[in-house]
Amino acid sequence: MVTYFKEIATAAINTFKGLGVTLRYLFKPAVTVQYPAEKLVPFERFRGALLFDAETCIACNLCVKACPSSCIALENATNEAKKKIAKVAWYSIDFGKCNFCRLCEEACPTKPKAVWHSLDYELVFENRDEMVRLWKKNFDFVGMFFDRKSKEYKKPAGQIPIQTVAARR
Amino acid sequence: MSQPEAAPKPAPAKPAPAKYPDPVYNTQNGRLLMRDTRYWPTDLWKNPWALPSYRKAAVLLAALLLGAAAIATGVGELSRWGDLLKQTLDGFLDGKGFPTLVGAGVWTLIKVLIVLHIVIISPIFLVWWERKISAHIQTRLGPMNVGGWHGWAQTIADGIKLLLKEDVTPTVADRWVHRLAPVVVTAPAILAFAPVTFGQDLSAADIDVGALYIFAVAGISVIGIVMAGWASGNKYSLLGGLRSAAQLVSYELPRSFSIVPVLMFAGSLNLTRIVQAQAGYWGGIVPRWFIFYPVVGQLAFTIFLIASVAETNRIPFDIPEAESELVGGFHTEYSGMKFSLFFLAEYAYVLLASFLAATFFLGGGAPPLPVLGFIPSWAWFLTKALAVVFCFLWFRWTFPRFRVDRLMDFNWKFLLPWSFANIAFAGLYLLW
Amino acid sequence: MAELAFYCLAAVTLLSALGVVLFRNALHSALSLGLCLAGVAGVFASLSADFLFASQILIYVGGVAVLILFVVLLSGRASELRMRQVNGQWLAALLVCAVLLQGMLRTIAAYRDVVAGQGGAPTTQNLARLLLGDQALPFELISLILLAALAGAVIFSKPDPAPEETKHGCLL
Repeated sequence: MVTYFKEIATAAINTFKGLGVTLRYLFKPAVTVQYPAEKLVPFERFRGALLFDAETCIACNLCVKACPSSCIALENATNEAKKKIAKVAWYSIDFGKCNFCRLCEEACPTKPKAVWHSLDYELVFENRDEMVRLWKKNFDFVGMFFDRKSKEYKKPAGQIPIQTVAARR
Repeated sequence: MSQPEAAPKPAPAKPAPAKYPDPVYNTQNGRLLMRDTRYWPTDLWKNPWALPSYRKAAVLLAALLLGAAAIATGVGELSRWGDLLKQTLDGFLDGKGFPTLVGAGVWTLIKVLIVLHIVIISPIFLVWWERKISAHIQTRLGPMNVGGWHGWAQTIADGIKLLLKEDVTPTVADRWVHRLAPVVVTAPAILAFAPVTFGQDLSAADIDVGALYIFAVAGISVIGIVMAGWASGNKYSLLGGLRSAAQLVSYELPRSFSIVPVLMFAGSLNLTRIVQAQAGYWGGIVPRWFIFYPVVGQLAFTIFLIASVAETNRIPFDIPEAESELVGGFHTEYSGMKFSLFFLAEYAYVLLASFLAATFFLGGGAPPLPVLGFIPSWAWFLTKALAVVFCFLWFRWTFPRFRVDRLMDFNWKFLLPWSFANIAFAGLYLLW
Repeated sequence: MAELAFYCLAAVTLLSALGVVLFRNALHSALSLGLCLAGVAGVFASLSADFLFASQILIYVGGVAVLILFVVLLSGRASELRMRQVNGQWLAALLVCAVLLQGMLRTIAAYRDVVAGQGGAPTTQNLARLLLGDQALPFELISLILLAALAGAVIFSKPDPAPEETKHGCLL
């Protein structure tokens, strides 16, 4: 008899405890980040979209050898005397194959690095052509892609760069 | 979503490192959120008042409540003009030579339209409120975009979407039974609101057997659910319909029996009489609501609340319509307008149960303190009813689902005997 | 006005009663029974017997009709079976119905001049006084009969105990 009432009392107390937990959580602020009005900036070593600096690169091919997906290709530039110089004529990364592993950035010997991951996670490709990014002399860090239909270099429209203002490694 | 990009030019001198492109801000509100994502948000919760959005939300809520109270005080004065309105209408129609029947008919039509609008429009608010409260209990936000401020028009948009959906009837279904099932579920839900007293002198039909009529009419919906389960033509729906009908019929008993002590104390089945029996205060402070009667009131209220949650097929008693258990239960094969009728009926019953709880146990219309009497009675009634609706939503996210045999056990072996014992206690009170 | 209400309710009741016996599908039959009982409740309401109206809906439509629906659905095959509603004994049945109809018409003819008044007075308190005062004995006898029916139903639905249980007792 007493056990019966004890069980009822225990059940009731646990029920109210549960209700209290729920009620407390009602008054906590919501943790939702309302994308796309609010965006989170990732941590410092986040492996976002790859950027390339054609001025710093010495065309050593270490990144090409380090890449496990073989998505990097480059060609040495030649000067007027048809000799190879330590600069790239063009450099391309195929983002369709890239698995964002940062081996190319670690292999790069220059200081600051010629190829590095930005914090940009909003890569949007609207067609296959956009996936192959090309860098030539005087292109900016984001690069361009070659549109096979119109046969010209275009800026990728989908990429929205999110950057911090910290120094580049 | 394409943003204007800042494309920097590399510096002409070789060793000078090139600048990063400037950070791109969202053009809508200029917000770029720099939040460390490595930690669980508990540090955010230590001092929520530090967040400007939290402060703004609290101010908005306070303003909303004050605004609602102000509107209630102003608009509530209109209820005193009901008699004058009726006299004017009768006089006008007599002057034109119509028999008194037409006047009574028009007045009844007006009352019917008011009750119908309450029943049909309140789910729009209730669904929005449910989604918002459910979301905040789960520390998320709920609807935010539709209609601007906190997504208040989300239900309207969902309703329009449901109306535009294709109305699918399975080929193996019984066509007429399939069509009539939502009607048989929804019509009693609307009918049951007739005797409900929304405040002082504010009921559409002051029936003498009001309480009994409400429970009787609410029982008709069970037939509709069985019809829906059968007419869908698949085994899951049939099982869901039968389980639901068994559950509803079982939980009707403790629900009705828990009201009996209230009827004993009030001496009548008339809802107005029951509300009047709860007027007044003990010692000028404590209201004479039935929930405050020492043991009988709390027990009766608890049993009524639990049984009402079970009657409306809400969690923790929603085995008949649980997605993981029975696909959709009896409303699997319904889409479009018919499904929205089932939805409407469920929310109408939730509203009905909270109105009844407010009427029977919380004094329905009486202010909790004598000094607060300037707020009209229907505003108090609505506040109490919405508090009970909040309890319904609260239970939804706190409790796991009952297994169907334990559900039946709980009813027949716990709630029903305790409701009988409650009647005995009430009898002891009255004879003392 | 009251006559109009009565005729409408009577039409609903009679048509659904015809539906109960004439529908071939047992489910449709059961649903018409629900409608018929609701029509009877409506007739009670039109005669101002408010407690009877509410109780009729609560018990008959909300209880008995639901139970009949359960039986129809759980027995399964019957609702798919398209049964002929008229069998070989139709002539004997017709004669019995004619005799009963004649008796009913005679009874109704005796009360031809009585018009149901618009009572208006709520009936709950009077019913309570009668049931627990003057008519307390029939009330208690009826509840005894119901208790006996319940006990009988429970006993009849208990399965026979298996032989092993009686051998080992309660501690297995």
